[in-house]
Amino acid sequence: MTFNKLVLSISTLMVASSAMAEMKAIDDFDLSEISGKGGVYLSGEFAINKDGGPLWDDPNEVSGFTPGSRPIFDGAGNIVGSEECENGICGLRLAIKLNENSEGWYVLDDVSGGMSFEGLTLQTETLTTATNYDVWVDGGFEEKAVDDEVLKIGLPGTITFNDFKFKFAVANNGEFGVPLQDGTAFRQTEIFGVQLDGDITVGGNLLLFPVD
Amino acid sequence: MKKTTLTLSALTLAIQAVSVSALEALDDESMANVSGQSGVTIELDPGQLDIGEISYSQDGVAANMRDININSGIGSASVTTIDIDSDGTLNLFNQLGAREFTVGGVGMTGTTGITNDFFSLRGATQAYSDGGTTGDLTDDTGVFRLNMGDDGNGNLAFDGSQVGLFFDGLHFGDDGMEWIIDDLAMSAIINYGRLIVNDGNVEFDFGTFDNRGLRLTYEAAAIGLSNDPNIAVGDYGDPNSAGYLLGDTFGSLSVDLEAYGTFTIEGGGADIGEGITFIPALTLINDDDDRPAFKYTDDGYVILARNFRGDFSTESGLTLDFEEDDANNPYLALRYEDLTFSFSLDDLILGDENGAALGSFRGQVLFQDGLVDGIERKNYLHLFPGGDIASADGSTQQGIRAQVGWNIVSAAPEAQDGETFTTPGSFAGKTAAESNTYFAMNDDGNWVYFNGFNGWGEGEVTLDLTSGPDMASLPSDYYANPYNSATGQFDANVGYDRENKVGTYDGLRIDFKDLRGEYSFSGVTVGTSEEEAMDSPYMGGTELLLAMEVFPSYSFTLNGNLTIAPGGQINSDGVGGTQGLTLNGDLRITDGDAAITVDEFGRGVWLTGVTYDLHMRGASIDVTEDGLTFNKGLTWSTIQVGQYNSATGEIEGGIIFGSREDGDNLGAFTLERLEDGTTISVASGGAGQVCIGGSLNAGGTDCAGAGRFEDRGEQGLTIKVKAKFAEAPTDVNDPNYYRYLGKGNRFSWTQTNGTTLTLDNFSTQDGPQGGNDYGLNIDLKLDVARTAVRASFIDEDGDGNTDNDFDGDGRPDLIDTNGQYIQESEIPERGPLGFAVFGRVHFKQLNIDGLKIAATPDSTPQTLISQIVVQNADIQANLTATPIR
Repeated sequence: MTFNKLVLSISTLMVASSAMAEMKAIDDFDLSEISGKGGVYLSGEFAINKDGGPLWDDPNEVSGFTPGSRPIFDGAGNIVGSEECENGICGLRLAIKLNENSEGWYVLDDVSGGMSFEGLTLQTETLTTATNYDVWVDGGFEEKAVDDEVLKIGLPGTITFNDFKFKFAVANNGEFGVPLQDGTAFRQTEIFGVQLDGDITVGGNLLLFPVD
Repeated sequence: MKKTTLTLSALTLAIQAVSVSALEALDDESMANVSGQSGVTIELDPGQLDIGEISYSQDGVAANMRDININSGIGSASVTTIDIDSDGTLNLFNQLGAREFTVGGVGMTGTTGITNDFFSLRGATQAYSDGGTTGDLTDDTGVFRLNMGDDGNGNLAFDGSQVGLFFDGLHFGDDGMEWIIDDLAMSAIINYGRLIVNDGNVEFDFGTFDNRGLRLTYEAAAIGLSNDPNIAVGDYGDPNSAGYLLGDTFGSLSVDLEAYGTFTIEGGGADIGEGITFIPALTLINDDDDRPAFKYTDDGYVILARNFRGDFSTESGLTLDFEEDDANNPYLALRYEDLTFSFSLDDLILGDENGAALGSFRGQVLFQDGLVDGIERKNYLHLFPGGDIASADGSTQQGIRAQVGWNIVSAAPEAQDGETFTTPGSFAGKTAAESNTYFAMNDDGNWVYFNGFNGWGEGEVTLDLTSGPDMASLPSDYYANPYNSATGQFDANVGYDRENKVGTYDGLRIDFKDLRGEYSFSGVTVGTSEEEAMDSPYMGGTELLLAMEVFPSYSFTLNGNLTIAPGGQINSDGVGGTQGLTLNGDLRITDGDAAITVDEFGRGVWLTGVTYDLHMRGASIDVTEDGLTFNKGLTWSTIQVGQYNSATGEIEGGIIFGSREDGDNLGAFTLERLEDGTTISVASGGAGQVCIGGSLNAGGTDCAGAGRFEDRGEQGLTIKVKAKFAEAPTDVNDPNYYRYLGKGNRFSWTQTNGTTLTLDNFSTQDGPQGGNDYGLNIDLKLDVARTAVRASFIDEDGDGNTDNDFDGDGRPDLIDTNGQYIQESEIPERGPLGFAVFGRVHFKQLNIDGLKIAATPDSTPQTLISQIVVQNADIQANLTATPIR
């Protein structure tokens, strides 16, 4: 049986935060790869709920709470109170319930912030030689050389995180603030929070290719 | 009644007068009018005129108009003045009287007598009017003026001739239904016209750019449909009032163009025998800022184009032949070995007439017969009278059946010496601009070309006017879904319009029968001029068309119907609207291969073995203040990409990475969708000030980090998708119970080893309170602008720092397109041109009822994730994409 998987090969990946010690520069071979030919050069920013989101930040949509706060409902669906979002910005909330019989939800809450970069390059090309990879064949791994179409992502050098943050929490309902059908009040326990600010340096190329 | 038949071939008209009122002697008063000193004036008031048939035949096949009746009893006599100028020019000035007319059928008759009709006609015209302006011919109606003289070079001159008509109503009938144009004014004026008889052809010369020979105008107050074949022709009331007899309409339309160039006619068609060849070398133009070239109005909002220019040219000409198929069914054949149509227009306005323009557009289509892999790809249109659907009682079958083939070409991309990129190619002896089919848009002075389009196809399309079911008692299968999620199969016996049942809707039904086609773009090129854009490297960007559900490359077989009815579904309030286009349809694409992303060599990510089954109820195309809006109404669809064969354990088709033919297979997937009220709108507007390389603060005032502001300008294209994924209710009393029954939103992916992941039952919601109005929104703003590209990192001395950082900011310096270093302040003049995309995905709540995994699609799935809820999402990507060399 052939096991199908996506292989991510990082020919050279240098990661250094601005606070970390300088790392060795990439060598000439890899540098020539970065210069890129016949591809696309991307600059820009990805952001999640940088200015808040559509559900809890529009005072016209749900009455009874102010922008930057999230409503709490009683068992009858009435808003009984509100919880302020951090810095007045409500982030994205992703809630997952793994088991149908479980009562608890894993929550990534208040995800917001952005990351910006300049000079990410995207190219597809056929590489005749590259890093070997393992492939599952008849119950064991075999090593194969790449001779295939790859998507080459030239990493941009510096990626700047801007007030990127999220919280990991557990809750008794996926929808924030909504009590359970039996009237049990909504409860959420925040386990930890992460905030990311500043630059990280990522150089070199990321090769992405499918294998059978 | 004696019936005689006169049939003459080719250039002879056969007119059979069944009953014409007897001619009478002119009385003294009339004689006085005729005796005019400087010419002759004739008044003609024929009363009732019946003509049995007018036919024109080629090679034994005839096009005919039968059962013609003209009634002048409603109006005045026609007054014709004939005069000859001192220079010998004949002046014929005919002031028409008001007339009503009917034509029983416009159709064709074959050599064995098979006769079918395209349509019937009814109409009423108004009497002569100078429009209140004696000097201005453009608003004259009810007029035929012929000025014919010698131009001094042995050619006939027609300068000052005109035809103008005003129809109170014009009805095209099809089996008891009628397509009605209300208050239609049409005018054609020859300012400069020469008839030149050459050896073997006749040439009409309509002047040049500076001496434009033709002025053509068309204006219709409203276009609608009627189920009543006896509705009185003429006065239907005010299209904008509630009591309007035609009810909802498509809206109003006006066209105002000048034309110049030549039009040549030769005897003989494409094949041996009789026929006609037309060779147009015409330019249609309107460069008057005060008169729109096109204007379509829908509930007060417009699609309006100013400064239009369109050029037609062909070397081989267009041939017109009357022919028969193997079963002796007659048809009209139009063929063209080559035809080039190019156009440009400034100021396309969608929405408010006084709103911002969308920018300038330009495009070119090159039709060219070809031979690929031994298969001929020809350009033709064969029009058969009769259509596909007969009248309810089966007594008549009118309509149009068209067999159509097309081959649109572009030159292959050209590789540059020593470089890995390609640029738009060119045919021998032609420039790249002359050798590519493209569609281009100008944004604040920069052009983006969707370039190198190739497409061909052939198949059958029929047009019929049809009526639909009573909305109060719909057939039980009106909302049926032929796809069965449980079995993963389509059932050919389920559905409203299916293999063994024809389900019709009100409106103009377009039926597709095995319409096979394929197309591809080579890519996007950008430049400040056409020359620069045609010399620039191909880059990605056609993927952006996916937002409008257009694949960058696609091959398909299309079957099914699309019915267009008058009256939109949304207006400025987002509901209702009496004008616009309503769409109902059931379409099935099979044998599809579609690219999600592809380069000019056909390598990318492909979806192969695609079946796309789509059903629309109450969809519409409307113009609103948001621009041109496609409202999907209630739409349910299934996209099946590849299939898992349980018997062999193999995937047939699927997602292919690399080349479509021999790339790696990532497995098969099925996407089922149930959408209610999804809209896709296109409007004007650029991204304005954009923060690049940094992060814009909440107030939009600071571009923090290493970023800087770049001005994308106010022009540009904004595409908004508002997808409302619905969830089938379990309560039988829910008003949507039967509309949503048996449908849903679900995605499943089967890997090549059979492992299947399923994302089940996803839907949008307006938060915990319920409702589904906000939807899942994708906003895209597209701009073309100069941007910053940094040189590659160079570190020859190995100190870990870049050697090409002359401005000392720790990063390589900026470069222009040719790799020369530039200052940041020089970006607006010298920065490489890029494609800027501001994308935003936002929704209030998305519910997913679980992620499941199964060993094969047929085995019992295990639940990986029972439920997923995503709330309050606003994800933005603000990117500039620049081609690099």
